[in-house]
Amino acid sequence: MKRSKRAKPSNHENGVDFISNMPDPILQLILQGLPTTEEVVRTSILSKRWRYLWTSIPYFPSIDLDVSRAPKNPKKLALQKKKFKEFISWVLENQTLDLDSFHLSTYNYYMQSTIWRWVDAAVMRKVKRLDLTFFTRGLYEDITLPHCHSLESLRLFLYTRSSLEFPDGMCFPALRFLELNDVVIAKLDLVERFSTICPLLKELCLIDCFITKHKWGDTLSISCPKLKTLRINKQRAFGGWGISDFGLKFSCPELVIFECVGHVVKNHFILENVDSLKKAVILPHCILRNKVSSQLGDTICELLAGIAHVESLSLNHFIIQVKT
Amino acid sequence: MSTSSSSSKKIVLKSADNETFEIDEIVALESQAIKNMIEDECADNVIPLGNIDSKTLSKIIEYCKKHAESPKKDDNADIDEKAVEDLKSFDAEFAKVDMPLIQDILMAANFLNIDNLIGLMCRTIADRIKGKTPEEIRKILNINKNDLLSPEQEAKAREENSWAFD
Repeated sequence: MKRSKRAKPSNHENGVDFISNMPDPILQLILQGLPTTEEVVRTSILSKRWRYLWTSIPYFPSIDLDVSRAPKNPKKLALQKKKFKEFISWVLENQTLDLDSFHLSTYNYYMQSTIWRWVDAAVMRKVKRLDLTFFTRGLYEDITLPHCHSLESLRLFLYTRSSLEFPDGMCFPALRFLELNDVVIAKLDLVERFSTICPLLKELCLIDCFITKHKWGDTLSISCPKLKTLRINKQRAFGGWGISDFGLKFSCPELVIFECVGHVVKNHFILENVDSLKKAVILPHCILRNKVSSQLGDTICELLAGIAHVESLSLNHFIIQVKT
Repeated sequence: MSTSSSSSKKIVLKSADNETFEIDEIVALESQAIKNMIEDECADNVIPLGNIDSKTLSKIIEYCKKHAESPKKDDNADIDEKAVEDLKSFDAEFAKVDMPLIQDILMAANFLNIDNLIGLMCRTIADRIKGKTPEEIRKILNINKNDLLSPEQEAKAREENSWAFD
């Protein structure tokens, strides 16, 4: 190529820093394309031009923060926590524009009240997606989520089993995705109320969840009219009462994917209204031989007959064991 | 007058290296800057673009053609998803070029005021620097050594938001 007025490729090779010569709004757009808020902040050391650029972003449409990594120098932890808190106030609480997503992972660094204050601020800004991962210090602390009409996706990962409660009249009218991970569900009927609490729910994942207040022989029943995906998984070994201690009964007319992994199947296991089901993954954990009753055998046979039409089916040998 | 008869009107763009490109006016209108020129009737038959070379300009025209052809959201309430997907994959393919060309396209798109293209190039650059170390990012963005922070300044910057760096 002839070197006309400006032969650009050679400029790049000559060390002409085009990007840094771009106007601020362009560089701000690049910053806003970075996936995590930390990465945005880290651009402050790139060069003089980038030093304070991120502070001029009009607002962060998504806030994605993970401070759960322990700092290399433990002595700096207190300062780091303080700086982070200041940052959150600045980026979250001092803004009013609508927020797309708020993703926060904080280990056990903050009091629950602090975290819920941040969540409230996000809710005030009509957040669409909430993803919270944190330890709570006390066991079985009650958690009540704030009302949020804008929320479409909610993921809660609470390491130490805080107990979740939805008061009467609580409603997430726009919620489509709900994942509860290591959450204690205070009452069995909470799960049953999902269909009224979140009428549009499309995907529900209950991972390593507990349900506390119940009687022996209770049945966990989930009936959500719009639900397409249901996952009930037990990934970690833990003592106490998990979902598997219940009879299970699901009635979801639009269900396409059903996954139930790691549970001990004990008594009822009923899938109703699953004509639209395409994929079923039923991988129970070991079933104690002396608990295998003929009733359970019948239940499993009925279950398999009911889902015989699916396109994809995964089972393990524990199911066969019960059947035979 | 923005009916089909006017959309077949031609506009000629001239690059920095004196190459001329004849395009439909509707394609040129993807550029807000050219649109303003035409509306203000200060566009001659040939619009000289003294700071855009022919390689960059032909890329930009390729982009504008595709986007001008695609149905706009407000044209049709139930815009078919296939057209959206088609445009998405075009954009993804379009952005598969080296950094110098991305920067040239970005500069030109900024000059011509083509919002979608500016957005696409910025997202592309963000994709290329995400997850990288500061050293790698400086290399990708070709940041001048003279523009770096002093070690003291960098230490201070890290200190200010230490939670983001550890």
